[in-house]
Parts: sequence; structure tokens; C-alpha cells
Amino acid sequence: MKKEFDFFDKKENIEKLKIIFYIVLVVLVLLDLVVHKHPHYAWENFFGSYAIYGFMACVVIVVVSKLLGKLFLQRPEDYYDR
Amino acid sequence: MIGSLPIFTLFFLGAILLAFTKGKMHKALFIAIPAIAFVALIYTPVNVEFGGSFLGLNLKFIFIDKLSKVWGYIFAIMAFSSAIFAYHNDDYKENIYATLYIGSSYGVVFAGNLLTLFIFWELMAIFSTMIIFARKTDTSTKAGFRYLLVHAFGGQLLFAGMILYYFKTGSLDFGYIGLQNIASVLIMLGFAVNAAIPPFSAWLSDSYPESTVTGTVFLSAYTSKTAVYVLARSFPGEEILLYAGAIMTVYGIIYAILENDMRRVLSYSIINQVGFMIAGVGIGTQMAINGAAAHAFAHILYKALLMMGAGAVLYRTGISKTSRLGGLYKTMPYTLIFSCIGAAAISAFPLTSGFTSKSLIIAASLEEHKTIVYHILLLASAGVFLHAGIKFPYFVFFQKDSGLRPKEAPFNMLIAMGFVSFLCILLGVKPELLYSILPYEVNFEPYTPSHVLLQLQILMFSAAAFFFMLPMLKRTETITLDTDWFYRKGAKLFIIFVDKVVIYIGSNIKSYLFDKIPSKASYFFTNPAGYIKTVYNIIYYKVFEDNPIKLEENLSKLNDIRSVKTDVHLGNSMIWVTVFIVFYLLIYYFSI
Repeated sequence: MKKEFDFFDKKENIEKLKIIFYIVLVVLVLLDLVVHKHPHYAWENFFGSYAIYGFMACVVIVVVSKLLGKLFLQRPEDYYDR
Repeated sequence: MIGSLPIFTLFFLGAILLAFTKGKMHKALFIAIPAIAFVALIYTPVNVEFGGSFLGLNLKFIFIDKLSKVWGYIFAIMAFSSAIFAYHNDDYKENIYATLYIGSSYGVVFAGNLLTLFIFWELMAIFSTMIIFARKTDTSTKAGFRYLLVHAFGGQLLFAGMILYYFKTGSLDFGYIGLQNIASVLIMLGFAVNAAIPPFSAWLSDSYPESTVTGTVFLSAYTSKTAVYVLARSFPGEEILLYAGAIMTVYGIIYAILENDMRRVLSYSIINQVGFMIAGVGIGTQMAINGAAAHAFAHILYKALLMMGAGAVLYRTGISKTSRLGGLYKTMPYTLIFSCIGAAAISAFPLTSGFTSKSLIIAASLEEHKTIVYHILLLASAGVFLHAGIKFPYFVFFQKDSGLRPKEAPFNMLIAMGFVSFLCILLGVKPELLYSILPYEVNFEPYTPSHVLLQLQILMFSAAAFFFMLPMLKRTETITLDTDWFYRKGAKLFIIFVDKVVIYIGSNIKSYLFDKIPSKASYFFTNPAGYIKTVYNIIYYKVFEDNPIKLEENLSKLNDIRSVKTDVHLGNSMIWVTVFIVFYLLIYYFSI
């Protein structure tokens, strides 16, 4: 039997991918120094502002939605059948 | 237009042919109809109208301009690729209903007047319900009925608005309406139901995931996007749409994050993406309308692609809950790749169609200085990648190994996914192709270094946030309450209310009105004098003489009132008659 393709199940591969991912992140932020931006609002002038915005936006979205879910919205799967 | 036949007739005639064919012939025809429609559309002239008189109304039957043509093109492309995706499907009825559904959406998009629009609007609701029913499960039937009721409600709002609009303006022409009076408010609400603007959005995530593997792909493209078209045609620049759109983008993300079912996640991301389009319509400038049209075009493709990917997984595994999926990359690599292209496109990665279309809307919001909306759209852009871009592929194809080893998707599905993936990338690499068919002239260059960097930073750091918060994003085996709670639970409460309160009061009224009062009356009228005498005796022996034996005697007489003898003499009656006549005379005398 052909051996299964299990690239993403190996720890060392995941580690390598992680390192590549971090390098990409750093490069993207460093590119801020080179690329000329066209900011429309003051905060956009800061170094790496979009990276921070993207990261913080996701944190806020996840935290807020999880809170809403826990407080009001999430119910067991048989909720409507009971 | 073939000769003077409108496009929708192609689909309606095609559906009749589909009903009479079977096997390969049927399937080939199913794919051929949209292909013919596409070619016919290319040769359809713009800015022509066909009018006529119908039921004494002067109606513009069909109106085609560049705006409606954008939708015309994408509807044909979509129908073509979904038909390939559904090639394996042997449920002929579903194919026929899908064709009729698409035909009706053409009827809406090319409608020149509100009456035609309304008729096709309702036909769309009916045929799409049929597609939901095609799953033939208990849950899909229930969801289908809920879906139909919501759309019937929306249709009635539209109809009421339309009638009022006719009485106010004397014309039924479908064009710019603008929010100004109750008629236009009703029309907009009718459109809002189909556009899935909260709180009228729960039908979408309730019903689409219950449909068949192939049905959902059809459904995801037409209803909400025709609604975007009609809003763009009749209510561009309405401020309320701007904010409704911004709310939708965030709303869709929050629910998509909480959802477990993969097709439900994708359904909520439809609401999120339609939010961008509605915001574009709300901005209302030429650039924003271009953006809304372009984004609808691009969205239909990549959302179909994602739905196809999820559908292929569902088709092979029979599971749609992400908590029970995972590790499918091993056996479904092509589906994974195509799904990732769809995910990249919906997240608006550079070189994909989402990037070139969404940036038009965001740039338009900047140009008009809509500060709040710009920031919400930017936040939502990050959020899209979080839920549709990573969550769907990651939890389905990677994450923990679920032990499932499904076969790769069927060949026809791969062809369809490949074709749509190609288009997603083509429109990302060569945006001019899309920009050239937009309603207004486009002077916009999406690929500036600063813009690409902005997008990449936002997206990659969203990804970082995703992995950073992975423990929080764990799939939970729950469902999420949406506004359908009000009519799902509300209906139950209503039934209980009817059962306990309304039925109780009603049966009491019934028994008094038809049973107790008549029977008392019949007692009385069989022997009025005896009745009066017996009741008099009862009161007399109860109250004044306290004689229980006589009381009992009279009570038992009530049951046999006919046999009670009274000495009613003619003279007594004469006295009463005289008294009444004198009384009437007095009234007559004083009233004159």
C-alpha cells in the first residue's frame, strides 16, 4: 500500500512552517520602512500600523464573539428539537 | 436576447426540455442552457427597453443596461459551473427547479417594471424552496417551510410598497426610487429580506446548510445577489444602507466564528460579504456602485467555490460539523487546494478576485470620507480571513486527524472547482476584464505597493491572531441562536397560546352561544308563564320563606317545564297588552 501523505502531521515540519510564517510577518512589517504609504488617517502613519490593526481587530472580534456566544447565543445542538 | 426573446425564457423553455429528457441528454442540456444564455447575453444590446400595455397599464417590460448586465454575466457563469458540479446528481427534479430558479433571477435582474420584478421575485422564492426540499430530510423540510414563510413575508412587504408606489407616482417603472415615503420604505424592506440584512437574515443560515450538496451551491449565488442588484438600482446612496452594510460585515463574522457546521460558517460569511456590497450601495458614488457590482461578481464565484469544497467534503464524508472533521488533506488534496483558492479570494488576498473587487468599495468609502464605515470595513476584512479564510480550511483539512479517509471528490466536482478557481485568479491577475464590464468607467489601480502591503499586513497578522487564539477557537458542539429564534420559538409559544387561551375562550363562547343560551331560551319559550312562575317560586322559597322542600320541588319542576300548569288567563294577557300599548303611546307622545 502506498504510504500516506502525512506532511502536516509531523512536528518538525510544523516547526519549519512556523519559522517561515514568523519570517514573513517580520518582513512584512519591515517593508513599512521601504514602501511609501498613502495614509488617510493619522494612525496609519505609525510603523507597522496595519499589522497591529489586523492583529488587534481579530483579537477583539474573537473575544467579543466568544463572550456573546457564552452569554446569549450558544445552545446545545438539540435546542430547537426539545 | 435571441431575436426578441428575453434571457429568462431560455431557462424556462430549457426547464421544460429538461423535464422530458433523461440521463446524459438531460445533464448535457443542464450545462448547455447557461452556456447558450451567456452567448446570447453578449449579443444583447444595452440601454434598450421593450414596452407594452398589460391590464391597462403601460409597462416597460424589459430594461437592460450595463449595471444589470454584470449580474446577467455572472449568473450564467455561475449556472454553468454549478451544473458541472451537479453532473453526478440524478435528482432530475432538483435540476429543473434550479434552472427555473436561475431563470426567475434573470427575470428580476432584467425587469423593467415593478410588477414583472415582483412576479419573478416570488417565483424565485418558490423555486429556491423546492431546491431546499430536494434534500428530503425532516430538517430540510422544516427549514424549507420557514424559508418560504420569511420570503412570502418579504414579498408581501414589496407588494404593498409597490401598490402604494403606483398610487403615489402613477408609474410602475423600476429605476431609482430613493427613500422618501412609506411606499419606498416598504419596497426597501422587501428587498432587505432577500439581501439578508439583519434582523431579516436568519433564513439564510437556517436553510442553505440544510439543502443538498449541489443545491447550496445554486442557492448561495442568486437570492441575496439579486437583492444587491435591486438595491443598487433603486436605492443607491441611502445612508441607512451604508450602516446596514457595515453592521452585516461584523455580524456575519461573529456568527461564523461561533458556528460549528462548515456550510453554516460559509452561509454567515455570505452575510458578511453581502455587507460589503450593501455598504457600497449605501455610499452610492459611481466608484462604490462599481465596487458593489464587481464584488457581487467576484463573490458569487469564490463563495460558490467554497460551497463546492464544503459540498465535496460533505458528499464524501456525510459530515458537515467541523468538530467531527479534520485531517482530510491526506486524501482530498485537490479539494483542499481549490478551497484554499476560494479562501484566499474571499479574504481578498492580492492576485485573487476578492482583492480587486473589495478594494473598490473600501477606496470609495475613503473617497467619501466615511470614517466609521472605512474602519469597520477594514476590521471586517481582517475578520473574513479569520473565519472563512482560515477556519474553514484549517478545521476541515488540517487540525487533528479525525480518522476519516474519504476519497477525492468526483471528477465533475473537481472540474467545476478548477474552473471557478481559474476565474477567481484570472480576475485577480487581470482585473481589467471585470472592470471593463462595470456600469461606470473605472480609473482605479488596485495593485499599488502601499495597498498590497496594507492588505498583506492585515491578513498575515490576522492569521497570526488565529493561531495565537487557537485554543479559544475550539469547535464546540453547539448551535447559535439567531433572529430565527423569534419565529421558531415564537411560533411554538403562539401555538401554545392558541391551544390554551384562544381555544378555551372560543369553546366557552361557543358553548354559551350555541348550547347554554339556546337551551335556556328553549326552556323559557316552551312555557314562558310556567317558567316565570317556577323561577319566581324558587326565589320566593329560597329568599323569603326558606323552605327547602318546596325549593327542591320547584327546582325539579325546571327540568320538566312543559308540564308545569299555570293559570294564565286571557284577562291577564289583556292587562299586559294594554299596559304596553299605553307605554308606547306615552313614548310616541313625548317623542313628537
